[in-house]
Amino acid sequence: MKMGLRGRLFFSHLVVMIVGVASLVSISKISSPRLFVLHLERLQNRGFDLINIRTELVTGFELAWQRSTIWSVLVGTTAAGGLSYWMSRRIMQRLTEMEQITQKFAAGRMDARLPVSDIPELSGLSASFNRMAASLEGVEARRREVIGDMTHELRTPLTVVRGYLEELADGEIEASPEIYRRLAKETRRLERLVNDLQELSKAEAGYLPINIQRVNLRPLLESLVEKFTDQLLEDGPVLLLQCPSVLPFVLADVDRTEQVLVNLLGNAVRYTNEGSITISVRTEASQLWIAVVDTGIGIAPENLPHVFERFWRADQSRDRHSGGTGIGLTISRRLIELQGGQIQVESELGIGSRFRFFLPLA
Amino acid sequence: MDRTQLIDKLWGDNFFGDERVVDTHVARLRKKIEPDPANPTFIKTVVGVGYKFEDPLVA
Repeated sequence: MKMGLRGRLFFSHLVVMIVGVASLVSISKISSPRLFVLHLERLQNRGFDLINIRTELVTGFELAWQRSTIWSVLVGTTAAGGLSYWMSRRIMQRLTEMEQITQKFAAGRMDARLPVSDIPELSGLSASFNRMAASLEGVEARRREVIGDMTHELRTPLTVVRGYLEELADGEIEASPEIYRRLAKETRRLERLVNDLQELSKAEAGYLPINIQRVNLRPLLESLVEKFTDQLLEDGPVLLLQCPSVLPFVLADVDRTEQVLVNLLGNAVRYTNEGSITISVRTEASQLWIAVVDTGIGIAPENLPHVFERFWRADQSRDRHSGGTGIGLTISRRLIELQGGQIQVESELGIGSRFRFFLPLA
Repeated sequence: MDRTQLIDKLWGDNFFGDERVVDTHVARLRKKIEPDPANPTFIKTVVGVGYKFEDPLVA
């Protein structure tokens, strides 16, 4: 059976004690009588007549030595033993406490933390554990939040579909192509949400396959401008491309970059009624910066830091053709980061917004 | 087809603009294929619904 820490501490104390006591006793046994005899001889030389009683004296001395040694060894080892036992217990107590708290945490009490100890090494261990615990608690909380948000988002279209189906079943409304189209639309919305969520979870876990190549992005930008211009009204915003005719190559995944730009442009079109939406491209140091600037409704300063968060939507009640899933920007940010870039936003209510990101130059 | 269907068919999920943009495109189409865009024979407007493509020879 393996010996526990307390046993080992106690045993090591005992060993030290035995070595100490043994050396003390053996040296004393060897040296004390000899020193006594030497002393007797000195006394002899000073004139004391000790020849007759010399043997008795030596015997008496040895007896005395034995008795006191036995007593001192007994008392000493008992005291030392007791002290060592008590000290190992104190140390063990700390460790047992720590074990109990970690077990509590493992069982689900995520707020459990280790106390600071007067033993610096144990304090260091406590601090490390507490940091890890706080991080895990955060991850758990975020996971619960996402599940909560997700169920809400999924439930909305499902409720609509169920409503229609129940009314159809009860004969309260008549089946018509219009109804079927509506059902199909809500189902598509659900599909899109599930796809987006899958993409998001893959992106956040780093599983999204990114195919980085040396690419020139100008053709992509031009084709996007064409596609999106078709969506704009005559009296609506105008789509502009400000881009040097010769673009340096960047290291990027074209499809993913297109995904990000579609997201940004889509948002710009959705939230801009007049003025302009400009895609502006600039080279800076070893980075290619692409900005989508619009003269739209803008984003309130208190919302600005949350814009890239999951499920955050500017206008929750908006029911446009492809009512956003709320994770477009979150996925976009992850996609840019996975390509080695960063995305930022600036905005002013009533003036417009500027979303810009960079990709590394080849 | 109503505007919603047209948008679905044309852009699918990637449409972010105002539905009325369909009207602009229909107007452009009419200019191109109608002999008299003001009195369309191919692309008819169905009031309250949307647009209909008709082949005058069959109708």
